[in-house]
Amino acid sequence: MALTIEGIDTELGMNMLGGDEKMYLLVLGSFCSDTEKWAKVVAAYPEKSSLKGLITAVHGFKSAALNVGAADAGNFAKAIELAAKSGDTAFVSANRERLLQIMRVLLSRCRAVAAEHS
Amino acid sequence: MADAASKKKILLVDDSELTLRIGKTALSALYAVYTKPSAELMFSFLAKNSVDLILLDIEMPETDGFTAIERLKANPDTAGIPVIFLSGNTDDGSDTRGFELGAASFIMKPFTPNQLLEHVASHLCAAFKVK
Repeated sequence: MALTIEGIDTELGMNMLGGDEKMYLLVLGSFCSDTEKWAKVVAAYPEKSSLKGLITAVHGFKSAALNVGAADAGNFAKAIELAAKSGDTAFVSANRERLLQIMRVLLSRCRAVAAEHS
Repeated sequence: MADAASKKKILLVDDSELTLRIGKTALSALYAVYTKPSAELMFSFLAKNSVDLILLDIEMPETDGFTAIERLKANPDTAGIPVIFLSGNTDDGSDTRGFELGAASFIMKPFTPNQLLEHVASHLCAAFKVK
């Protein structure tokens, strides 16, 4: 049965890995670990994490999201990354919470699928 | 297939577990692959081990890839190791800066296992011919 995760084109993500579903599930597990780590940095901005830290976390999430097939999430992260790099902290502040919500929702959905197939 | 002792050694450095997993899986059949989640751990590893190629992420917490390659090239023990940058940026001049600092090449993220394998193979082949 095909993997279905709302917000993720799992077929695209799997094709990125040569169509290997087992490998894709392992990569999803890594995506969860990474996203959990990066979400903490995004949540801590600006009180407890710097703009540089935020850029690194959002950049990492962008690449990982694109790798698993979450293009919308990856592209949204890219917009925040570019804004942060250009010093547009108003855009970052206005969209940080939405990004965090996207990260948490994807994390929850991916964990559920990973648990279902473990 | 090369046996373990004769395999070329590749050090993959990235703060993303996902990238380390994909990279190690893609390369392990042909190469001895070591993974480190930070530049500082890379330097600790290189103090005791030699490698044939380094795959280095640019955006990392604490020491980023640009700072790391400057340190690598400033050290006679590591200056000769080819460094291929892993980059998720296509439009910010990272490639220009990377080449100026001594990078041998770039691989754009997200990459497929085959893209990584082909890139590494062609680079190691080229490095071998130069020697």
